[in-house]
Order: sequence, then C-alpha cells, then structure tokens
Amino acid sequence: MATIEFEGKSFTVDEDGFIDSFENWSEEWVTYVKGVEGIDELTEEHWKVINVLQDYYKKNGIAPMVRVLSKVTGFKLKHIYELFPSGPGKGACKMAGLPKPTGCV
Amino acid sequence: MESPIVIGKRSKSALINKVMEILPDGGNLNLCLTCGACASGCPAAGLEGMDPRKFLRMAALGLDEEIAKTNWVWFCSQCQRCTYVCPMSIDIAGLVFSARQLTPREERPKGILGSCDMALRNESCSAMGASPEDFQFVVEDVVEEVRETQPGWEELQAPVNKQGAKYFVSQNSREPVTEPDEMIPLWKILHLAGVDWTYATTGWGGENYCMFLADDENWKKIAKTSLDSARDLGAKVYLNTECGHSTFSIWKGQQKFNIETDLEIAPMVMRYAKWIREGRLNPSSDWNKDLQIKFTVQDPCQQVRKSFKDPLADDLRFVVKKIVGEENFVDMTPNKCNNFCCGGGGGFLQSGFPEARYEYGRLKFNQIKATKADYVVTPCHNCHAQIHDLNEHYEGGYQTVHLWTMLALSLGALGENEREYLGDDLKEVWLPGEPGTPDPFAKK
Repeated sequence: MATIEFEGKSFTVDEDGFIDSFENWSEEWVTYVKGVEGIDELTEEHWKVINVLQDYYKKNGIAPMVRVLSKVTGFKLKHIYELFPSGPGKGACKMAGLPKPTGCV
Repeated sequence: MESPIVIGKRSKSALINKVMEILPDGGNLNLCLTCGACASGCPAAGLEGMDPRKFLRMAALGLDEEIAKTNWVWFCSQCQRCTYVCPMSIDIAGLVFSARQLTPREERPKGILGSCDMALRNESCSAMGASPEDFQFVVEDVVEEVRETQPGWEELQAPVNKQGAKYFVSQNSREPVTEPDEMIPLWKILHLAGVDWTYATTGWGGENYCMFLADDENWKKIAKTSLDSARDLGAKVYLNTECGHSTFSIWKGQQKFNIETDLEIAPMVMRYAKWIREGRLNPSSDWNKDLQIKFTVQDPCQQVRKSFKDPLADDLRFVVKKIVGEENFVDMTPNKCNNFCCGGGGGFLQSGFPEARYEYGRLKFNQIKATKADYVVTPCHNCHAQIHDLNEHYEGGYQTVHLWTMLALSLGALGENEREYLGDDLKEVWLPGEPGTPDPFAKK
C-alpha cells in the first residue's frame, strides 16, 4: 500500500486510492481528495453527501445503494455526479473515507 | 527471459495428489507432454515469470512451497483456455484453483475475500453487501419512476418474490447498487417478450466471489441459497443475468456440490436468441443502416468455453447481428470457445494487481483494435468492467456496452437515462417517442 503525505497528515491508501481504514479519515483527507477529483469548492451539498455516507456506513458497514443515497439527501443521481465527477463510489465514498466497494465494481 | 525452475530439497507434493483425486475419469496431470500449447495461448504467460506449463511442472516436481509464494495463482483468470487446447485435456485451471487454497483464507487478496464475506453477511448473497430490504426498495422505486415518466411503460413490472413465476432472474449487484437505471432495459425486454419472471429478496445477488476465493464451502452456500430461493418461489427456470461468473458459479456449483434442484439453469443470451426466433422479440437494425457503426463481441469464458460452449457463442452472434446488422458485425480472431480471456475473470478485478491485469489484457486490447470496431458488446459484468478499463488504460477509443442496452435500443425501448455506456453517436438514436423510432408495442 502507498502512503500519501498531505498537510502534515499521513494516509495509507490502496491501489485505487481509498484510505486503508475509515478510522483514519480526517478533514485533511477531504481536502486532498478534493484536489485529486478536480472539485473547485466544497459546498454544503458536498458535505451533506459525505455526512450521509458516513452515517450509513457507521450503521451498516457498507456504502448505501445510490438510490438510497438520493432519497436521503434529496439529490438526483445526476446531481451527485455534478458534485462528484468520479461518481458516488469513486468520488464521494473515497472522500468520505469509506473503503473501496466490494463485488463487480 | 523466464527464470528456470530450481529444484531444491523435494517435498512431498500435497497439491498434485489432491488434484489427482478430484479429477474426473481420464484426467491425469501426469499426462503432460510439455508441448506448451497451454502456455502459448495463455494471456497470463510471462507474468511473474510463470506460465501454465511451468506451473504444472512445478506442481509435478512437488514444489508446493514455491507455488504457494507466487501471486500468479491470482493472475490466472481460470479461463480454461489452457485445458481447451491441451491435447491431453489436463485441468490446469483446476490445479490453480487448488493452489489458491495453499494460502490461508484470511491472507488471500483482500478485495476477493471482502467480496465473498459481504455476500455471506445477509440473505441477499450480494457481493456488495446490499440488504434484501434496500434491494426491494430500489427495484420498486425505479420501476415506479419508469411507469410515471416513460409513456407506454405504465404496466412495466419488476416483481420481487412473485410466487409461481416461471423464471427466477438473478441480478448482479452492480446495477441496483451503483447504476439502477441499467436494470430498466432488461425489464423492458422481459416485458416485451411476455416473460413471467421474478426477482427474490433471498439469493438475488448473482455474484460468487467465494468461488474466486477458492472457498468451496461458501461457493456452495451462496449457490444453494440462490437455487433454493428460486425453488421456494416455484420457479421452473433459473435465469442468470448477463454475468459470466454468476452463470458459471450456479451452473457448475449445482453439479460440483450435488445441489438438488429441478430447475433449468439458463444463461440470458440464449433466451434472448430463443425469444427472437419465436417472434416474441423483434429487434431491428434499421437504425444502423446509414450509420454503419461496427460492433464486435466478447465471448465470456465463463458462459462459453467453460459451460454452454459454441451454441451460446453462436446465439450471441445471432442476436448481435439482428441488432446491429450483419454487415456491421466484425468477429475477433480467435473467437467462441477459442477466444482469449480479457483478464476480468477469476477475481482479477478485485485482487489488487492492476498492473498485471492491464498486462494480461493487452492481448485482448490488441484483438479488439484489430477488428476496428467502434463498440464491444460484453454480456458479462467482469468482461464489461475489464474491457472498459482497458480502453481507458490503453486509450483505445472504443465503447463497451451490455447486450441489454443494444437489444433495448433495437426494440425502440431504450430510454434517455439508460444510455450511460453508449457513445455520443448513439445517445439520441431511436429515443422512444421520437420520429422514426419504432413502436416497441406494435404487433408484428
């Protein structure tokens, strides 16, 4: 696994750039992924998605299905892609510190 | 240049003896003529200095410890092309499967292990861990939206736990979890063909990463849960979605583990062909008369070489030619049962070795480019993911599409939000309700 140093923090990431453990998530990680993803400015809408993902993950141990994410946030999938150009999995989940999804991703 | 095999203190080979015990009649790993046919057509040959012939020699020489150390057992996609071309029909993929078991379960690749364990966490058998309740919510939410927003589809059905339906349809988790609109084309196809079908909340997930993990106990558990669920609903046919490994894991798992069932286990592609031949589906290639967009197909190893053989490959071509026009279809060489694996199988996509996977896929990429096709049709999720990924990695300039997308388009039934994998050249072709688009409900 590779290590990323950013703003005084050290993150261990897998081959797809997801951090090794949700426990190691911090706001510096969000800033780092924001740069990698090419997002200009983080808005309240970005944080709403991140918070919903983290709450669901803490309760269920997985990321929510995107339709569930849409329902809880009130954002259509298309808008989630506007917020996170890499999509809810590779963009939003990565930023929220969730692990890489399992299965046929 | 590949490194020579070093024979140190010989250990008693547990591996080869174990495999010899389970080989069917006539199969014998000692029959190897060392001709090299296996290695010459293996896309994994050369990775980590290994190839199938060398691997078999090492096993025959009792070098189990050396075998246990190599990552190559995770680079082999279990595609069985080596066995297909072997003059002695030696089951090298079976040997590799057993070699994966030399690594303690918890130390096998994290992505494959995690995908297997996710499928065991609830009765969905979903490798992405989706719950039965969430699956049912998503299916019902999506079908309701289609009924409300797509004229003509007010009666579209996507039943869950429908008792007595003829067909039990499995659903790879990728669509309901990450791209729910991608389920809609299949629902429309089943509707137009007049198919009595159902999903289930138990065993709906089509994936079986426990098979890739070489975890027999849990491969069986998932296959049995899904088959029993279909039986309990009174289904007659277990219909696998366009997913190669789930098709194989159910088809082979039922035989390997003697799972009692009266169900017919069928792959989706052959049903598409049957319904077209029976006139229940009437695709048209007229949309491509002037466009002349070229298509090729990937024969999924799991559905063709490993299970339903050339009859499925022939049906795949029959369906695709109906959809795109015979003159717009270009075959890869070699093809059908002799096709090369793309590198998406065997758990490779989740094993954590992307560079090896890209190198493995170079052969497939070159094969695709040689066809000069604009689109690759892949009736398998792992093929789709890998060939899509190869395009991005090697900048191929082609599109990778599911068969359901193209079939629904050719029926005049593909909605605006169901075109994620189409290029700009097809984003607006035959949109439902637009002038020139055929009425999918018209009687032929």
